[in-house]
Amino acid sequence: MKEIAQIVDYLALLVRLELDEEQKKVLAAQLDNILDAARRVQELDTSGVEPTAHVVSSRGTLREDEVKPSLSLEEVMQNVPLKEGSLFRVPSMSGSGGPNGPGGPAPEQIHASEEAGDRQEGKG
Amino acid sequence: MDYEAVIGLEVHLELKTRSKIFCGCSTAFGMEPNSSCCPVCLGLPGSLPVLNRSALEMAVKAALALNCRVEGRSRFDRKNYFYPDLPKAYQISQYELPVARGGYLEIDLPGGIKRVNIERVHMEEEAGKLLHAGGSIMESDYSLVDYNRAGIPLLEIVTAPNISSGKEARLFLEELRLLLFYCDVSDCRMEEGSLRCDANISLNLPGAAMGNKVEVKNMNSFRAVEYALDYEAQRQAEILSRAGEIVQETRHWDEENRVTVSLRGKEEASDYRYFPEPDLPPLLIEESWVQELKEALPELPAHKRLRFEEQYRLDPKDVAVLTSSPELACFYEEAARHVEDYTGLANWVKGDVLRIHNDSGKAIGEMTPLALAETISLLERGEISRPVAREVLEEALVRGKNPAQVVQDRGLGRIADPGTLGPLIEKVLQENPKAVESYLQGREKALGFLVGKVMAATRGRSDPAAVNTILRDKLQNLPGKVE
Repeated sequence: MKEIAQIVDYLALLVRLELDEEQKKVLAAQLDNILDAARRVQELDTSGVEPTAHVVSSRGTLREDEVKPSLSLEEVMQNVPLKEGSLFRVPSMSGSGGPNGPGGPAPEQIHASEEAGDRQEGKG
Repeated sequence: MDYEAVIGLEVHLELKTRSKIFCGCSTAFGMEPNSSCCPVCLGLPGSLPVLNRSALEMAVKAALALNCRVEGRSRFDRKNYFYPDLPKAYQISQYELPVARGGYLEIDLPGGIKRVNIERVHMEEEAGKLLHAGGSIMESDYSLVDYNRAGIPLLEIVTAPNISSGKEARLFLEELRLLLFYCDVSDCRMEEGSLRCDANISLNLPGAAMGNKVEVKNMNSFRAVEYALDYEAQRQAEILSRAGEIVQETRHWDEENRVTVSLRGKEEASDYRYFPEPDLPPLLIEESWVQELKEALPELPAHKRLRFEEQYRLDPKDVAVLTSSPELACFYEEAARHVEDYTGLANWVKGDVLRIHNDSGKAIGEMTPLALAETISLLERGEISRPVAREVLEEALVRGKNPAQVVQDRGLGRIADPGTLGPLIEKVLQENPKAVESYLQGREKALGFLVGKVMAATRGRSDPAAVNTILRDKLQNLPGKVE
């Protein structure tokens, strides 16, 4: 079980989940079951079988490049636990160093002083 | 010891579609945060992505312009990572099977043309925008997220590591931007983030194995790319020359201090757990469609430059300006159909047309090239003077008027009539007794001064030859002139 415990720790790190020992134990057992199932599939002789990522072979449909109505801001924000104006508010990501991958637009710092008030409130 | 720099670039650019890559939300810039979002781009359960035809078309056009092989069968994959700029916790990208591979782009170097190889071109979706609140960027209290940009189509272009200096990297990016302008697939605005570039750089001695590579990020202009890579090459050379070891890492370009800085705390290797995107079927592209798009590609910059040099016998520097946008090149060519002096025309386009464009904000594409040709013709026929021609051109281009009509409406035609010029010239003579005296004492220069005064009095409209003749005549016959 040591190996599976390490896998759980690693996955928890990847998905940024903080798990306590009890949760880890439960998840390790479940994950082991899942991996077992996968191992059984791996035992099959698949030589000569092409990898099948998709079961459909049809040509995908394309949509025309037309702008359709988006959700209203109210709907977008409906389930947001924390917000500031029309923005989602999340824990600070600045020190954590973002993803290596897609390299989204460079983060911007907020300079506008009128937002300072909101910020103070939010903090308290 | 002279090390060789080995540089590869990863360029991300936003495709200029109207709607996002997998949903119908608008891609417009500057909208209220989170007002261009829907269940698909927010990753709400039960929503399904459908690929935007224009995004695919633009990707294929760009790939063809880069001489790539467009793959008949490619695939979308999920790139999993947990960071709040992605609402779904994965980015739809292409990993194993990109839409195109194996092309090149040629850049002009002092020593000749260099071919920069392209390894792959693939499509993916843009992430959202993070704003960091409070304190410095490194110590902000919390972050804010705007998902308007999440789902804008991106094209990633990966070069082979065969770029050798910061300058080559900049030239490559400039040529790439021009190419994509011509193909009309991206605005390539680095300041708006519609084009971004990361680089990998390593050093080695000639013939030796490649050294450890460093990834450089956060370069916000083409110049920054050049400076950052030159800096990084020098930094690595210094370490190597004292037998140090290059740490394989990601470094940020610090624009203010002009250095690259190690990003500590990012030591954990990335593990994106890619797997085929189950919500999108494999991407099958018909060869006949690719062929259609290939045939519909516009003339590309490198070809246009060569043709301009040959067809119009222009200096390469002039050609570079004239072909700096497809609209300007088209404007020149349209005007050239009615003009014989191609170099003169180039000067008008480089000078006055661009000045008028900058001053008035009127798009080149909305200006009538024929107006320039007609203005030049009025000037060549002596109907207007050069200063008037410039004035007429401005009016004609900005307001879309016929130059001859502008001349007529505003009474700008050349004045050669002695009946009109005579009294004007007499007035100038009276007002400038010193110049008159000086001329009479034999200083020919004074005549030029007086001609200039007459020209100024008519705002450049007088015919200089006529003015000259009448002026000389009047000076000869001045009352009281000592023979």
